[in-house]
Amino acid sequence: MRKKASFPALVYRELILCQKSLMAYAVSTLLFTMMPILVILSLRYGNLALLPESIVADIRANNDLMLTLSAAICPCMLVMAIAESAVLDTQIKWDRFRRSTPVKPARMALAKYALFAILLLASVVAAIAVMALCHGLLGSPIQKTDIAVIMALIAGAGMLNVISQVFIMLFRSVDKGMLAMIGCAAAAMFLIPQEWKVNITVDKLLGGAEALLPLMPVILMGILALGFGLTTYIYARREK
Amino acid sequence: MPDYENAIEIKDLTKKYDGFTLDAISFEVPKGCVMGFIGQNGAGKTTTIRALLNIIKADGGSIRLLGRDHIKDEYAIKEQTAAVFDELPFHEGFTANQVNTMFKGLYGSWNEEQFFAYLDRFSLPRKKKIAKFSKGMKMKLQIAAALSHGAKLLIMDEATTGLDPVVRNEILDIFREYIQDEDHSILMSSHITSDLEKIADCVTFIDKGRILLTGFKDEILERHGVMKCTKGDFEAIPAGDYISARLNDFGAEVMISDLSAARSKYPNAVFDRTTLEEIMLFYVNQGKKVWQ
Repeated sequence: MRKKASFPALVYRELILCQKSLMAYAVSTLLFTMMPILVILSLRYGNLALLPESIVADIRANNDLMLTLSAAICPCMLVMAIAESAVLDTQIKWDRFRRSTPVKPARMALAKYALFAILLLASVVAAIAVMALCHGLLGSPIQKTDIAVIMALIAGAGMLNVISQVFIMLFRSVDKGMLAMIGCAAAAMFLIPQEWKVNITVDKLLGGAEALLPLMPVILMGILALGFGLTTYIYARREK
Repeated sequence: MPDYENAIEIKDLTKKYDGFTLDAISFEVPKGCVMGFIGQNGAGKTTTIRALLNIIKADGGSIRLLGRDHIKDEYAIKEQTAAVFDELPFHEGFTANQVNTMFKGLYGSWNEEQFFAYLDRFSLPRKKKIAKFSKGMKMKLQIAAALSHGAKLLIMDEATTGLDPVVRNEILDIFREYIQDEDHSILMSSHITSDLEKIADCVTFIDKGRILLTGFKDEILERHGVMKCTKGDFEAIPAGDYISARLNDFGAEVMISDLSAARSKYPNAVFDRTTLEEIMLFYVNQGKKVWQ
């Protein structure tokens, strides 16, 4: 019986392709998490703590969410690192070579989205951990709203990632792919009714994120399934 | 795999593009042979290879690889074939070690020991990034990978183009070894005819999407010849007796496709042996018939 090719080896290939972006995100996470944490430490123990209590309370009332969120934003974007594999594959004409191998399109797409799922999970864990750390330093418990915002950001980053990868693979060009993604984002802005844009507030956004929280596992699974399906379809398409 | 006589059988393969048509081409690569696929740039070599590998959809015709239908049995065939392209399809940030791991995911029959043996033989470093490899080293890496999963058919698209003669010879030596196993076959597309002259058992000439000539190399070289004569003598030769003729200051060089017949018909003429390059040149110009 013929031996099966190793699936982890395919996932490893995707990981190696993304390694530069992953390193960049790791460094950015360290830097961008450090800054809000330093502000929080200053509020608790440093120069900002020397201000009158009422002013400190004011600062905290207005900025706690922003501080914790800005610390967690980089880990939320970690999932974007996988876009690099589509970019590099386009540059080296991987698609032409892949078609000369016995790997089926669905298996190749599955390897890509297995790594995507791992990065998605890593994003959630890292972002919640950073936010929990910030709240710990502020002496306040992590709220449902915090987790809802993190999940909404990760879902948004994941969706953007799927769209950009699909366009890059479809056009076999990084420039055209990114342009198409920006075009889609711009078109989406036009599609949002004007009255929504006028009446939008931070509270409404947070309320929306909280309302979506119970559905988040389904939304994330949906994003993975959509990306996997579209990638399999593009991989299976033959050139003209 | 079923038993088969021809590693590749192409029949009436057609592919239409705007401004180019691969026009119902047919040829075969017998099992155990090296087939040189010769043609100038844009002749249709890459289109044919892409159709063979099912990268593009053909508009007509049929292809059988290793005795099987190239679409119905695509993945079973690809387990036993290897393709080498003109450009390296591995990212330059990879090392040879990482290429080894990647190939474990591509082929169930991947032979790590064989791959490392090729790396040692080619003196390719395992931990150095491919970005730091020379063009020759990159091609050797690609060939090492192609030969390390027990492929019975090696398909190469302009793989030796742009390499220096020393590296090209090293690569040809590897192919000679590979072909020692009678189950192994090679289709090698190139416009460097000197390489094919050294290694090919069969050749197929393609031009403007049409097959001009296909068969065993030695037979083709024996059958063809260049008749050298004066311009006056040349004018007396009927157009049907030659492929095309090159005129120069000293007279005419006439490509003959049936040397023995020409020798009996023109006993006083001087005939020279020819090369694949000359044959290609004269066939490509057969539309003009007389050229300079």
